[in-house]
Amino acid sequence: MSSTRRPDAPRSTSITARLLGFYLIATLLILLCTNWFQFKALSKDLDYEDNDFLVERIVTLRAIVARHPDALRDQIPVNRPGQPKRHLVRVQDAEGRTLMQSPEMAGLAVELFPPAVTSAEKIGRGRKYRAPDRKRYLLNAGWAARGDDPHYRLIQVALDVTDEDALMSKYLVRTGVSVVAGLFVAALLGVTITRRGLRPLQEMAQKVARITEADLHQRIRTANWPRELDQLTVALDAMLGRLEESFARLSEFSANLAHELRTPINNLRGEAEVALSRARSEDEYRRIIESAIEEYERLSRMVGDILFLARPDRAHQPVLIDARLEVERLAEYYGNLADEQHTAIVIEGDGEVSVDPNLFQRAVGNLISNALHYGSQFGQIRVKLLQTVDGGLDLSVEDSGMGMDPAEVPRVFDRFYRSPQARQIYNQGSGLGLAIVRSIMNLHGGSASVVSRPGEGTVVTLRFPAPPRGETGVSVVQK
Amino acid sequence: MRILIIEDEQKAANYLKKGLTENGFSVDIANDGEDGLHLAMTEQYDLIILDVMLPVKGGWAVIQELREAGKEVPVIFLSARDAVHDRVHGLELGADDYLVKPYAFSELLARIRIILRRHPLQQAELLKMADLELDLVRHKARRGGQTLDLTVKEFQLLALMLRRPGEVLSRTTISEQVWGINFDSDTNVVDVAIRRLRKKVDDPFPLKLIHTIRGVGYVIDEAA
Repeated sequence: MSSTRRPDAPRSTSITARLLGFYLIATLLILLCTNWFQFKALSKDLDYEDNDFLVERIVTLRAIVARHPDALRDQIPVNRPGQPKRHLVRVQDAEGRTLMQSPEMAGLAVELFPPAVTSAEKIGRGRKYRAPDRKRYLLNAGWAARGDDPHYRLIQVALDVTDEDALMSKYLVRTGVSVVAGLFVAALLGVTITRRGLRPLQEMAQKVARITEADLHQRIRTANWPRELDQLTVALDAMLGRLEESFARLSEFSANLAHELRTPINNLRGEAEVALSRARSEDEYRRIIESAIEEYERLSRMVGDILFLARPDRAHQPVLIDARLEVERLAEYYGNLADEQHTAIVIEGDGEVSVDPNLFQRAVGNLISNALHYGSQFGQIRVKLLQTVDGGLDLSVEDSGMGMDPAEVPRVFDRFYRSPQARQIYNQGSGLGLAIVRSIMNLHGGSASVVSRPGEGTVVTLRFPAPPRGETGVSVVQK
Repeated sequence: MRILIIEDEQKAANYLKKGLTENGFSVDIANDGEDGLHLAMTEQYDLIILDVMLPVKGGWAVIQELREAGKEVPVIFLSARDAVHDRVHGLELGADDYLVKPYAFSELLARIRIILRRHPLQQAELLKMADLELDLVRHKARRGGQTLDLTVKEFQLLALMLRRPGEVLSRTTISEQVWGINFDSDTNVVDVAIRRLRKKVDDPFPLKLIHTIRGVGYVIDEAA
């Protein structure tokens, strides 16, 4: 693929990179969501358990205060070797004197605990506290009642959750590591999948790269491509079709060109050889040379026309002209010729058009000249001008000639195309006149079309588009 | 009048030399840009005919160096390149004219004469040749005392020829000057017009003034 890349190709991101990006973002989102959800669920579960434990402890201690206050001391967890204590207890009386507490409770001030509630109210969630010694505790408190005194004893319970928190942070680190690892795996997979997925594209590129002008008849669709590439194959095949057609036209054009060039060259050569084969009179030499000059004229006109047609991007300078004035000039020019054929050139209508005056003259001149050659004697050539609604101009040249076969109509604009009847009537034509007309029309963004009825005549219509905005005032180019 | 031809195509150079010599010019030939430039710098020419595509040093370079050296000798470019920008480029570099190959020799001659002002166009109010008179002010044509009934275009055509007596006018030139037509039509419009003009100007009189140079064009001349 890179071998066919031209140095001035615009920088573009590769499809692989783009897909990979999408994969990674998707994977990251999925991994983050699942892991975060699990982590959250786990930490919530632990929280609830701890809270429940504390609430349960407070409820138990209340019951003991209410029924067996003497058994209270047994409920204060103390250090037993080999048994880590999980929770600490402190019991105070209503005046705030500490009656008993676990030894470590001393480090947890009374004010740190959430406000205690009586047994008539629901005990809230515990409060998290981080001790200066890096230990973490969950704290909760409640009043224990005795008889009808709801504030008989204050019970504060603390739960050591340091280990759990450590566990959770470890878990968090592991989660991070697994997300990164997952991403890495996804990237590897993504590259592989994308590469495999794009392989048909590469194959197609190689196939297209192998097509030369010699095998333009090849088509890409013959192979089994994935369905997603259908549009591309169709488009490429259409392009190949167009190329093939242009090449066919080009070779036909070349063949015609060779034929058209051969004729005058053959005449020249033949005449010259015959002239040299024996001594001639001066007058004869003169005639031969004169005839040669005429052939040269034909040749150079043809070369000029071919070059004209070969340059689709000719510089042209459109100006706004009075079309009628220009057509009248042409009618005057061809007037004598028309007279000889007892043909009248009639101009109807008028209009303005934005064109290169010389090219306009050439296009319309070619049409009038065709009408004179192929029209009938004692006939009429009508040039109609019509300014269209959108500001364009329709110009039609109508003759009352022999017309032509409907089958020929599509070909009349082809280079060098000349119908058999046309050759009979006028054999000096080059077959380039209408091709030049069409090329001039294309140059101006217009179009040329032909309507013909055998035996009745032919109408060629030129449609010029509206002048671009900002062109005002008619500047008729006067020679 | 000395003319320098800088042209690598030997055949072309030779017939140009022949044609120009026969028309009263003295001609030197250089076959490449380097020699041509050297000759142009050291000798005095009235006009240089310069090909664009030359070996050693191209036509563009030759004229550039000439003009930079302050040589104001008129230059006519001959080139097979007919793109508009080539033509414009040539004229921008200081050429006086630009002819595209293949050109008619008569055309080249006419342009050389225009540049050298050997034939200042007669701006007279009365154009004359033999017993033919054209009164440009009153738009009247007379021959041998008879008034000729000419159309406007016929009058213009005759005037054009009488202004350049002895000069062969190509059909293209005539189309341009008389009808304002700027493309080479493959029709014989000009031939028909000349034929009609002859009917009125030459046919009734023994001395024929309008002559055909077949394949080249038309000329008005007292000498047959």
